[in-house]
Amino acid sequence: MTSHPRKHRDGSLLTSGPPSARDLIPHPLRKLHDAVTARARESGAEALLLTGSTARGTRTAISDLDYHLVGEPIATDDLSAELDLHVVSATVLNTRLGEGDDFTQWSLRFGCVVFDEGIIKESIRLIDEKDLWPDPARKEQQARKSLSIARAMMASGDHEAAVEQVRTALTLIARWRLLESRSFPLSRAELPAQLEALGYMKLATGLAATIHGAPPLAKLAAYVEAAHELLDARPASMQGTTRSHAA
Amino acid sequence: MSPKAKSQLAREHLERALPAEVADDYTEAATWLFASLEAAISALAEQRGVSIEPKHWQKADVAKQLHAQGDVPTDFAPALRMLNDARKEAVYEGVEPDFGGESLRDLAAQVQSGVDLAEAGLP
Repeated sequence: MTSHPRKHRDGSLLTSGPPSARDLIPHPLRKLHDAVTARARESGAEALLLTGSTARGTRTAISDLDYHLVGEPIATDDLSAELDLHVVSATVLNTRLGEGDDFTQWSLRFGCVVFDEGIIKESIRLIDEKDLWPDPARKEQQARKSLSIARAMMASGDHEAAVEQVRTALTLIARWRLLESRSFPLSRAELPAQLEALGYMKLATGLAATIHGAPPLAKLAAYVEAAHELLDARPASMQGTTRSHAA
Repeated sequence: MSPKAKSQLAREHLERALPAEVADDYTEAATWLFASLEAAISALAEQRGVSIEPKHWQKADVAKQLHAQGDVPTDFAPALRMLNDARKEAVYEGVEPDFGGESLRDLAAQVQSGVDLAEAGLP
């Protein structure tokens, strides 16, 4: 087991002292956490990180229980579907770090270590030493694709699925814009405040509305249109001193 | 305009997913297959008077329950979980999802059977 000091100018990286990962998990989910931890250890995994909103202490009504497991897949079919376990090998973890994948960096920067045989500590050292930053262009590509699917989902009339897809698209656009501005995107519930700080008021409003409720299709359409305008606008980091954005 | 029936949505989503599966567009395919199967499970749950919650994992639990009580011959919960993971990998990370030894085509066939059941109605 290795220790992980808090460090990094973009925000905390990892917590290894109090609170422990288990302390961050709501009581009804602790048995699930214990099962995942035990199975991960038994499988000989190199590391297990608690990630997502639970690790940030910002769970919402739509939160899953998210983990990043470095090692081989473990059996989860008999566990609650509330579990969202992301499994990668050490090789893939390093590859994705090098490719500028923001999800991998998110886990390393903000995840809470359940256990680590050294791979996490080494990856953090790499981020720090090489000043690694996720590639915003990857996020932009994903955002465009997702927005296109969101439009089609709204047109289908499936309100529940449309809310989810619009939330997904707005989240990706938010992450893209924040990365462009050298502000690391936090958990989903924290994104609206980060966006407001950069002047993306409409995007912040739309995202918050889809996180905390189920806006009607007409409202969703307005959020999507505003997001679409933003996709075609210049990023905040390239706009001189202007800090307010129509979309 | 009244909302479409869940079984109709399930069929329409499936019809969007199938060309994407053929074209190997895993982001589109996984997203629409997942939406289709969720709508099919919701339709089946409605037919049995089972209340369905908006969270994905709760729909997977309902799918398991419908199978356990003999309402449907297949437990669709693993396919729902697989597709949910796959769409998230594709959409959020932009990587080709790992289908755990299955193919998109296998999953599409499972979704098709769920949609057929939802349309036919439970006895």
